[in-house]
Amino acid sequence: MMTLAAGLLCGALGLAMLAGLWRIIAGPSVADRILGFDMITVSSAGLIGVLSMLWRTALFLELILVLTMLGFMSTVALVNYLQRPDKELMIPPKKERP
Amino acid sequence: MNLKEWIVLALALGGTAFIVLAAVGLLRLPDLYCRAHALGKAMTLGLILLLLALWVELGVTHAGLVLPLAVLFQLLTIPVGGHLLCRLAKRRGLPQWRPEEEKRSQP
Repeated sequence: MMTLAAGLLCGALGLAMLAGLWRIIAGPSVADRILGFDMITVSSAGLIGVLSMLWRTALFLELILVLTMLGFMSTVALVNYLQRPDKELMIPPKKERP
Repeated sequence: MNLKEWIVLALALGGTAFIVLAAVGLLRLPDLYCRAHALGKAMTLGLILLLLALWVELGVTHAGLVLPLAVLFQLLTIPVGGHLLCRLAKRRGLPQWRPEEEKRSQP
């Protein structure tokens, strides 16, 4: 029962990670891509939670803390980088080379 | 199955459902601001429910107080990240979705 439920939860969180990956690939602006990255970070933290629920260990709890903290720090760093006035938020499409 | 397993199962299923809802919002909504809105609420609640399920499963003697710390950290950081992104986009003048334009362009 618990194994089946853990498999279901892992599949759902994997689908959420795929949604974040699609937003990274297709997002029209750089901020959309950062949102997709946030989605992937949080779903992988949830995946670690589900796995340690299945294995009944407390070994990976600090990993959850570190992972979410890294995601937040990278978001803040990217936003601070993009706040410079010479950085484009919408990347224009590439021109055809002659 | 005893009561504790039912509680753990309900909390974990609810948390995963909220994370999947956030993913659907990330895929389907038309605008950066709408997507950040979907992520900032649903993802926070989903991850908090998952961590509470893990805490109930492991117990205080095993897990200690790391998981409430993680819950507090989530509650502080995920909305702040969404707000930073939206403020950046608003300052740089990212175009905003309006429902009237879509209605006008559809027929």
